[in-house]
Amino acid sequence: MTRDNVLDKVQDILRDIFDDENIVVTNNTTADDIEDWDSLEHINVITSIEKHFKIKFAMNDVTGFKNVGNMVDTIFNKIS
Amino acid sequence: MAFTSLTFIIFAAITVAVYALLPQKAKHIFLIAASLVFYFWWKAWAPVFIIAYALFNYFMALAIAKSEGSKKRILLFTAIGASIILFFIFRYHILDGILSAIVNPNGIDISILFPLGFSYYMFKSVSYLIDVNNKTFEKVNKFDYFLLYVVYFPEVSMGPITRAVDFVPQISKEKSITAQSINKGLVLVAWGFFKKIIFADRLASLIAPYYSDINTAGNGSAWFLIAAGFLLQLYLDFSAYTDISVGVSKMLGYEIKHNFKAPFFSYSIPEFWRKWHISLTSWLLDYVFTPLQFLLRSLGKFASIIPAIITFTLIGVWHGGTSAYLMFGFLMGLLVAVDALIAKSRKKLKKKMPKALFNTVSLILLTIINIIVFLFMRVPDAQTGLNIIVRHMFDFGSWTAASTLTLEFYIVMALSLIMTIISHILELKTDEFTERFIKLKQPLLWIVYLAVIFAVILFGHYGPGYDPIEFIYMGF
Repeated sequence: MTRDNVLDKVQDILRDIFDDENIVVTNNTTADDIEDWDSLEHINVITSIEKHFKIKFAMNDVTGFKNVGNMVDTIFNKIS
Repeated sequence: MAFTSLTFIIFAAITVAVYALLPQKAKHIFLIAASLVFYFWWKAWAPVFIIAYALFNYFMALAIAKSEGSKKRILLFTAIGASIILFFIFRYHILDGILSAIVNPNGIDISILFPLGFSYYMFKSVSYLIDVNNKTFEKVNKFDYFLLYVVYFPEVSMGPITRAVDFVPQISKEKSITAQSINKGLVLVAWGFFKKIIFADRLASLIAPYYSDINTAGNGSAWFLIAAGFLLQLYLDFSAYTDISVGVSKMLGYEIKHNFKAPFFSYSIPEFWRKWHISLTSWLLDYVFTPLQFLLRSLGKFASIIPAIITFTLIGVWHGGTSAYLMFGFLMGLLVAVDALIAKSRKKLKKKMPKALFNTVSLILLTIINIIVFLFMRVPDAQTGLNIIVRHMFDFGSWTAASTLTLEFYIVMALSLIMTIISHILELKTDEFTERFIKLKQPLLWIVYLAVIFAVILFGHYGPGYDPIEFIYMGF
């Protein structure tokens, strides 16, 4: 799986969680860019990603996420 | 020294004037000295305490940055634990009885005073320690920089709880204090005085008698309006304080984030809390809620519900050691938890309903919830709060009875509501507003300032013996 595949898959997961097929994410997308992505929904994003990629994030990973790009990098490092 | 006292005006004017004239290298040292004087004004021993507290955290952070593994964790927990223990000793007076017995068995009771602003600069210090531990912020290598961060006088008594990562890098930046930067700050300070002295303090004294004897107000709508009056007072009071804090900071060349961003223009409880006392809620979100939620993430919906209730109960406990504050926090936590549970259905409903209708209904519901829950911030204990709500406010038969409230109460309420709405609009466009203001011609600027001064003198509400009424959040 390439890094771009990971980004695409993250986009699918976000579309699924927020029930909106029009969501388009880039590396620079942050939670502020997606209307319903608040602190309560954030954990659903994290667990869905963990489940899909069969990985476990560490606390430090999650607190370090500044944008979707950061998150994709961490996922990519964990699966490759 | 309350921000709205004459003493503070003189103190701030001298501080800003001397600060502007000093060379860059001396500026932050002078600011530390001024801040220590400000803190000394409260109690003579206070500077000693705050310097000792800053020293402890400064060296703990250095030690944490140097260590690894379990040693690092132990150091972090020791440092945070020390702050928490101090907080409980001060806030809940747990050592007072023991001390009284040891020091003077037959004498007067000893009561350890809560150091002014400790709950604010404790949070500043703890977040710094955690950031250094997580390597999200580099340790500060100069004690003078860290001390200024902790004791900085525009924040020391009531926040905002600015993070080290936002504050410390500003210390070494070149500060050019110009007429423009002074005006940008001064207009905010003037605005804060206007809101606090004319509106918040007048509301405070109008509603105080009803709270001191809860049976005098009559029932139903009267109590609903009194509770609404307190909510407006709380907002006007605390947002005015923050305006002054941000304004004085601007005059000193520091940019700090405001605590409010039009909170009453919200459509859900979580949204409200993202805009209300922002520096406190974002702190708890980052250092309590999110880590807890992450640890509990395998629990499904409970992963958000449990941390929400814990976080908001902590907000209650942070405010003070009464059952009323505990109730306030717990109820808010419960409501946020309910909100999380119904979020999906609410989203569906939102899609089906016309947007304007959905938003109006949400806004009204949120306002009613806030009026009721914030009541617990005003009463001495939870029992009194419940009494007011159950026996008086929810006595719907009396809602149409002739009002026991005075005409003055209605007028002040209406004007305060208008002020709150104007203040909300300005909060959404503060920078735009101040930029426009400073472009006004010099004589016009002075007319505005003089108008505020006269308005505050003529229409201001002053406490007994002309003591400035303290800000509500000074007690927390």
